[in-house]
Formats: sequence, structure tokens, C-alpha cells
Amino acid sequence: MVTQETILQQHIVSLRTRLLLMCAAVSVAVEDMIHAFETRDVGRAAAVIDGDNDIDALENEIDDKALKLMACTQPVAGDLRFVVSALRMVLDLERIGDEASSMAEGCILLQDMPPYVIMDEVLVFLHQSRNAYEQAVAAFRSNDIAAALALARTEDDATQGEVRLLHRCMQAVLAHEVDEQAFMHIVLIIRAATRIWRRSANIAEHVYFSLHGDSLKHCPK
Amino acid sequence: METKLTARAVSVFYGSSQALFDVSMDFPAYGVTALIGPSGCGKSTFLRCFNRMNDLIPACRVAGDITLDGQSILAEAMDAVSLRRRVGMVFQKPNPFPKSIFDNVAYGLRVNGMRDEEEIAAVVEVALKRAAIFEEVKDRLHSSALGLSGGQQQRLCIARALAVAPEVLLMDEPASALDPIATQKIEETIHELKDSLTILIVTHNMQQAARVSDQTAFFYMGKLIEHGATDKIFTRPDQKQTEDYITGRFG
Repeated sequence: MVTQETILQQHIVSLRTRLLLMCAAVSVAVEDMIHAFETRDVGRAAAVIDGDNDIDALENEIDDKALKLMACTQPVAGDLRFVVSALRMVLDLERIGDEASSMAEGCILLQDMPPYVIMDEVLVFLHQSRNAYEQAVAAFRSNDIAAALALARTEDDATQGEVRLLHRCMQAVLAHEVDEQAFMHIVLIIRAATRIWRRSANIAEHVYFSLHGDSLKHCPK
Repeated sequence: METKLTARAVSVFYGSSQALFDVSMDFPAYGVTALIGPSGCGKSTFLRCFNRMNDLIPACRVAGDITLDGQSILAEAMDAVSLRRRVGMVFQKPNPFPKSIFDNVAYGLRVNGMRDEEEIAAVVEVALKRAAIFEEVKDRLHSSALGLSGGQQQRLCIARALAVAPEVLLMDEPASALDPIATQKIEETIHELKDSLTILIVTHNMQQAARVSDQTAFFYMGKLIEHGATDKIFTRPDQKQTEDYITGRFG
């Protein structure tokens, strides 16, 4: 059967390219935020906050592109699922960018605090969150249904990790290993990391829907 | 769901050339089934089997079986004229007779022996209303049908088909020659009619198939590739060929 690339396919490729660019921009924000947290690099934290505007602009651009694509080419089947997934993904990507930005603010507020022992455990959790995000992007980039499904099922891991870590923080406060002001900032960073993980799982759900056609939303595992 | 029509292993030959291969499917009553596929895939050939229009083509032979309410329509005992009363047809190009609007719709009634002019007038009005054209023509029923716009002529042809109270309506690309407004009116008419008729529609317009039909069947090179609920076909078809066609990757 002879196949040909239509204007619709060209629009789809263009939309996918912009989405991958947004994924990369968010990836840089998350990576820089972790680096800022680990090294107390206030300059890099500030760069994450500044860079959030670019991520927001990409969200607007992709939204606009997807809407025009739907209006002008009326996609169906896999193309339709891709555009719907793109519109959903872009929301999660933008929110992950926001989370990275607010975590970067936390890093700035923690800059003068002593290097608490609990910070190492928080850093491990941040890496786990970042890994979840990178897996989501990899599943999207390589159209990997199995990887998307596996990641989509890790939402509970994120919650459990958060609960464990918050419990450790409480113990540290009670043992006067962390002061109360630092505790506030650390808790906010942990919660934002959880949300990054969970939104990464959402992205995996969108990838699965786009490729497979079935929705994993609100499905029992 | 009640089945109105069934096709079992239907093959169609034009001389030694086979145009349709072993097509089997059921058509639910009171719904719209769209037949889609690239040009030459056999969808119009298949459509014409249901009122034996292929009988009129020399060297055309139909194998397999088609039933209407369980009764074989290909059997010799089935009279083609009475079958076509039960299974009406609307063609791609509007083809009103060079008569008045009224006489176009009354034509089938008179051919079938109706003589009471009051009764004829009542049936004509109902048919024009069902075809959603009555309001536009009620003040000029005795003007020539050829003076109507293309979209109006097509709805008049639908009214003409409806006048003899068919149970099934076959539509072969009924809106392909019409502008978007006229197309929308035809689609609204189909939507209104499907509660009382079984409708089969051939269309090249994917969006039209998605808008008007409950079931969609995709044909390729004389074979039925996939058949199912329209929303399923247009969101997650099972067959790659279907996906490639409806997304415009070929055809």
C-alpha cells in the first residue's frame, strides 16, 4: 500500500517536535533545580525561576498549534488521540515547570541554613522524581507502550515515598536536627517533588492513551 | 439490536472480474451505516446489491446471500420492483424528473396505483416534511423541480424515495455535489429519518461518516476490512489499513 505524508501529518510532526522541545525545557528546569538544591547554587535556582516563562510560552504555543490542527484538519483515530494527548501533556509539563520553579524558590530560602542530614534523603527523593519524569519523556520520545504503562503505575510509589520522607522530617524536627523554618521549606520541596512524579505518571498515561487507545485514567491498577 | 439486513459471503463479479469478495455483515434496524473506502473499493457495488440495482448492469453477477427481514432478496421469488419499494435509493447527483415538485413526489404513489388525489396530496406533504424541504417549497409545489437549488433537488429526491414508505434507504454519496449548507441539511435529514428507517450511506467524506452514522464499514480492494461502531472506528480502529485510510495516509 502506498502511503504519503499529508499536510495533517506534517502538522502532527511539527506538534510533536514542539512538545519534545517543551519536554527538554522542563527537563533542564528539573535538573537545574536538583543541582541548585544539592550545591546550594542560588544563581542556578534563579535561572530555573526565570526559565519558567519560556516553558509557559511553549505551553501557549502548543495549545494554539493543537487547536488550529483540530480545527483545520479534523484528525481521527491515532492522530486524534495524539492531539488530545498533546493537549493533556502540555498541562502536566507546564505544572512540572511550575513545581521546579517553586522548589527553586525553596532552594534560595534554604541557602543560609546548615547542611542538615535529612537533606541527603530529600535529594534521593528528588532524583527519583526526576527519574520518573525522564522515563515519561523517554516513553513519549520512543513511543514505548510498555514503559508508559509501567511508569503510570508508580503513582502510589510517589505517595509512599513522600509519606516516608515526611515522617523522617518530623522525627528530625522532634530531635532538633532541623529547625522549624527549614522544615517548612523542606516539606514544600518534598511535596513538589511528589507532584512532579505524579504528573510524570500522568504523562505516561497520556502516552499510553495516544499509542494504545485505552485510557488509564482512574483505572484500578 | 434488531437486524434489518444481512449480507452473507456476498461476492460481485463484472464478467470475469471480481469486484467484491465474500462480504458478510449485519445492518441494525433504525440506524445509519456508513460504507467508506477509496474509489473502486466496492462500496457502491455493495450498496447496489441491496435493491438489486446490479441486475441492471449487463454481465454483473452476485453470489452469496442478502436478506431483508430474514427473506432472501437475491432469490428468484423476490420481485425486484416490490423490493425497490421497500428499499429506496438516493443517488450522488440529484435526479428530479422534469415535472413539478408535487408530481415528482407523487410519481411513485401513482405508479403504485394510488388514485385518490387527496390521499396523494397528504402523503406528498408528509414526505416533503420528512425530507425537511416542505417549508421551502410549500408555496410552489406546482413549479418545476428543475428550478430548485442542488441541495433542494437532493432533498426532493429523498422525499420522492420516502413517499412510497420504504423500510431501507440507500444513499450513494448524497451530498458530494452539494455546498456545506446544503450538505448540513441533508445530514440533519438523515439524522431525523434514522429513527424510522434503516439507512446505508456511501460517502467519501470521513467527517460526514463520523457525523451521521452509527456503524461504519471500511472496504478496501473489494474486501470488508473492518466494521463496527462509528465512534470506535474513528477513535481506535482495530485494523492498520482502516487507520491509514481514515487518517488520510492513503486513498
